[in-house]
Amino acid sequence: MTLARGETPILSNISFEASPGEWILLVGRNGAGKSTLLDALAGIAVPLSGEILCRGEGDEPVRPTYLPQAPERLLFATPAAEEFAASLRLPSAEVRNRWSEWVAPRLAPLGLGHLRPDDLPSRLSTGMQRKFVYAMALARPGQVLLCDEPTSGLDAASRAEILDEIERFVEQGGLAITALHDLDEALFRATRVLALADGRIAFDGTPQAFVERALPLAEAGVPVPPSVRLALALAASGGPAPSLCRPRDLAAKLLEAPATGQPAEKAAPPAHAQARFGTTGEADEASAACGAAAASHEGAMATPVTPRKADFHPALRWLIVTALTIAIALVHRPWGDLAAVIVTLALLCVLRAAVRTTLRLTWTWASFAALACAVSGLQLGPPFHARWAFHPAAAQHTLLEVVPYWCFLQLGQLALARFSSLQFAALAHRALARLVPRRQRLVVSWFGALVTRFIPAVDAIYREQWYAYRVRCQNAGRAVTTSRLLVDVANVIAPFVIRMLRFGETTADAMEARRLFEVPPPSALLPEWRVRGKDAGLMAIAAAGLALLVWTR
Amino acid sequence: MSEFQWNRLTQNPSAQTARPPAIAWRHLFVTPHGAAKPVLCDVSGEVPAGCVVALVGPNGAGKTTFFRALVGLARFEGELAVHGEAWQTARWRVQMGFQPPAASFVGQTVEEEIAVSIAARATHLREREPDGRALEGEIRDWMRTVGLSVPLNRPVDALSGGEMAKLAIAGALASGADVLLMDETQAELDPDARAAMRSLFRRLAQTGRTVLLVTHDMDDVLAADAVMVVKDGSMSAPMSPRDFFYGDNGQAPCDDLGFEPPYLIRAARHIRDATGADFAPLTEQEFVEGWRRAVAGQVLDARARRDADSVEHLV
Repeated sequence: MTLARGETPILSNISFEASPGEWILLVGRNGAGKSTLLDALAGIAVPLSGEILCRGEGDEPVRPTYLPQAPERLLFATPAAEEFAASLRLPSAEVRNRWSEWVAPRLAPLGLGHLRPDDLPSRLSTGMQRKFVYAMALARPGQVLLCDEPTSGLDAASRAEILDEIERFVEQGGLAITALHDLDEALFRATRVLALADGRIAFDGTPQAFVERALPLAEAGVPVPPSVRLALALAASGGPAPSLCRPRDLAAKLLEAPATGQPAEKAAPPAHAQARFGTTGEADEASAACGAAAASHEGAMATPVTPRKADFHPALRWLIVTALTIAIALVHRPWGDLAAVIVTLALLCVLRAAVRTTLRLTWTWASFAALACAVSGLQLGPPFHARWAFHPAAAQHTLLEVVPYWCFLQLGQLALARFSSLQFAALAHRALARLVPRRQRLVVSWFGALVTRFIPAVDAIYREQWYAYRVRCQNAGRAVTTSRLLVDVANVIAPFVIRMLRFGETTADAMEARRLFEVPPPSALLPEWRVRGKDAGLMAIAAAGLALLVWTR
Repeated sequence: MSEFQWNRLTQNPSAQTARPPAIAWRHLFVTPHGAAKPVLCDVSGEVPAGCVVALVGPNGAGKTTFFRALVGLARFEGELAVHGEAWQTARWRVQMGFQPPAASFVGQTVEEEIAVSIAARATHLREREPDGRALEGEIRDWMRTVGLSVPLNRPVDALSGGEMAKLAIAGALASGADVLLMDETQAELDPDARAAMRSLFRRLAQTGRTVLLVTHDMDDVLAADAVMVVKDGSMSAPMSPRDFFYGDNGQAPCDDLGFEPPYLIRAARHIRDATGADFAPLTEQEFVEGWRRAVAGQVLDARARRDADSVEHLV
């Protein structure tokens, strides 16, 4: 298999087989491709090349249960009974009736025994929501359990309980594949470790072999847990060779095999030396690390970052775009449309609009135009009309009517682009300087900044929620179809809105804590206000365009 | 409180002078927004400048509420002082890291985010706002302080979790804060990134900043100067991590309070129990050196048992 995140391939030529009764730990740095691999195994993402084969017993298809990172996303924001009903594919009345028999015993070990069928899990704290999702998924797991960081953000007792549940699942003949950072305990329970580094499988073997080969693996960029770091440190100073043992056994081994003579010369101690800082003597190391960071920092900075170079005078640019928009709106002749398109194209070229955005907007416009032309030109036939017909003249008329909208879309792009939300806020603050009292001015400009800032955030949260919905459907063994989506639309929208509100609340808290509402947006970020030669050129083009438009009228 | 010797813990010599504590609270009652009765009742304590302090405790114990009170997001009664000044006038010196960090950024790029903080400091201190080159230079300085090496115009949404956490800290420092409250900001990071954050906190403490962490990760506690337990609306006196994990007489607060000690501590305790030696390492280095001495028979030296609190004479 070769897997990609977005368009960059991150894992290439990965092959492995796994059978029931195995518990595979996926180990690797952040960004090593663990989540991407799990997405592919769960069937949420499609590999660039290669395939995933599942052979079930008999004819039953293999159903994976996938718990991605931050599993609280999977909640539908419905009462606990409904959540369970959706996962178990049972009527919620049945779940309610047999709550104490089926559901409560699953929730109790995770400290959620107090939950009632009508409680809203999405109101719980994040850690509790995670535990709830785990209890729900493990109530009726498929043959394959895929978990991404199941223990993150949980307290010690819940971590142990989750690991117990996974172990039980494996003992009953399931296959578990878990990506984990906290390996100290899991290494004793898992049957196999797959380490990912540099886009390939760096290690595939038993946990015992993983610990024994820890030194070369750590050097190859595989993160090793604290227990292994300790074993490596002991081995480096003449202690026993690293092996997988419980704390008690390690202690016994250390007491019985005293250090032999001189410690092995610590030739460049492995990653553990940097990974931790002690109480003494590591200040130099920290400052060395700091120096290294600063050095690499300089390296990164040496590449010239283009500063806020004002391509064109922003105010003039805005005036020109606005004037042309008004002029185009006033022209309603075929020749005028042609002139409008020419002027818009000229502006797009001169102001170097992104080709991708331009094409996307053109596509949006084209679909709208096709629909509008069809509506106006098409005569459908019975029962709406006497007979079927198409009127090209009407369609053409409509097409000419909607041509200016293409220009408006593109001009809108030119008017909005290249201003960050903070620059926008600083601009608003400066523009209102004489008109509005300070306090109100600050509120208005920060409000503007936040609104423009959070459009991308909304997009990101929506995509996350859509992903979570697909995972949830997959876990319940349901295909995502348009008709299902229409029924389920609330299950995507409600959690999305809740997450948005939480995100906004955190932002408001952070701004309040930083007391940003009392601070004017930094005007130092604004581009220089100076009219240059190319601004004059832009003005000339705009004047020519305006003249052309007026002339065609 | 008085019996705890803060200055024995800090590595920062300037913290040992008679400066007022970075943060001190007396008879504090904190009521979070929308709650009827206080979550923290009559708590008192202080943290000197240049320390890294870990706050641990079960969920809902009031750790976050305490932090929110310190930055003005929760109502409180009682005395609160920042560097010896009343909180109301010096609160800009306390900043908090939020989870997820992405939600706390107002700038769209690294440069903008730090520029906002610099503007905030300029406003609160009535300084002149730096412009152009000076601003860019200062932004780079702050990035260097936290070890953030990305281009200035990198969008904040394109940063990794560790980079976001560092940017949040750079922003807090740039806004003039020297008391940082980190509310589980490392929970979602991978072990390498967490270790990098720990060494960043240590470096900040060495330059006189104060860091308070809320954490569930016992490795963070191992690396802190002191640990405070928040439970049932009260706050324990500060303990050294050694006391917290090994205790005075076989009874470690760590176990009593239901925290699971890390692997290193568990292995060390077995050795300690088996030999009766005063073996209480907190780092791998201390563990290795202490063990080598132990097997060389030096631990049974009577001198070693006198000061049960420390292994400095061993390592």
